[in-house]
Amino acid sequence: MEKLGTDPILIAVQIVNFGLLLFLLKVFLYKPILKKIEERRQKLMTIDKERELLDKKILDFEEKRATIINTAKKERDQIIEEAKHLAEIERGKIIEKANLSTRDLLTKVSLQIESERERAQKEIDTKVLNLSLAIARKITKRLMIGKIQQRSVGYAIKELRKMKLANEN
Amino acid sequence: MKTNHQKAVVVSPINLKRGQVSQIKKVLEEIMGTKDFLLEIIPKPSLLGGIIIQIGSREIDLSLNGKLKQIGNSLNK
Repeated sequence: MEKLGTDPILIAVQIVNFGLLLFLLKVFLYKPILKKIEERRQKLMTIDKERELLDKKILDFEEKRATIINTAKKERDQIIEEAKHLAEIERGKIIEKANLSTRDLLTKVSLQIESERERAQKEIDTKVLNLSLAIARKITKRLMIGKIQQRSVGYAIKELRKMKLANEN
Repeated sequence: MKTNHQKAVVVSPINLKRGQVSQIKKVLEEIMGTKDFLLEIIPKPSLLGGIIIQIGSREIDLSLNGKLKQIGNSLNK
């Protein structure tokens, strides 16, 4: 061994040194570091688990939100449909009412027009009659002279006699 | 003694002849049932024709005006 250039004692000491170093490193460096690493790993695992839980909660929340939104949409559509239906019914009623009113009004107006027409016709008839009578009187006045008047008195007396006879019967 | 005389008034457009007056008087006697009444003749030219007789509150219209009125009333109905 000495011929090779190595000292066995030195090697032994080196080995012991190395071993001691290893031991010291293991106790004072590796263990704490590994412990720290393990702690960190545990922490990370916990964080992962919590993240998974959160993700699940978020999913649940999203599902609930979607359900609520769907339900709200359905209710909204239903309300709109009902409102449309009611509005249509009301529209029909209003139109019906307006039609009835118009019909009533037309009937009233027609009756009024007819009544006015009858009244006007009666007025015209009366005026024509009065005019005719006035003309008849004027003409009669011109014609009733002398003998004609005498004759009219004669006719009146005959009529008086007839009246007396009729009363007796 | 006071006697209650009935009165008959005859309205005529002309002065009546005697014959006409006696004819009217005769008919009136039969209508009124008595000869005891006063007959008054009133001329009224506006009458046009015929006569009107008034006995108390009763009036008998035999005039032309009356006839024209009757025609007008019947046409008005």
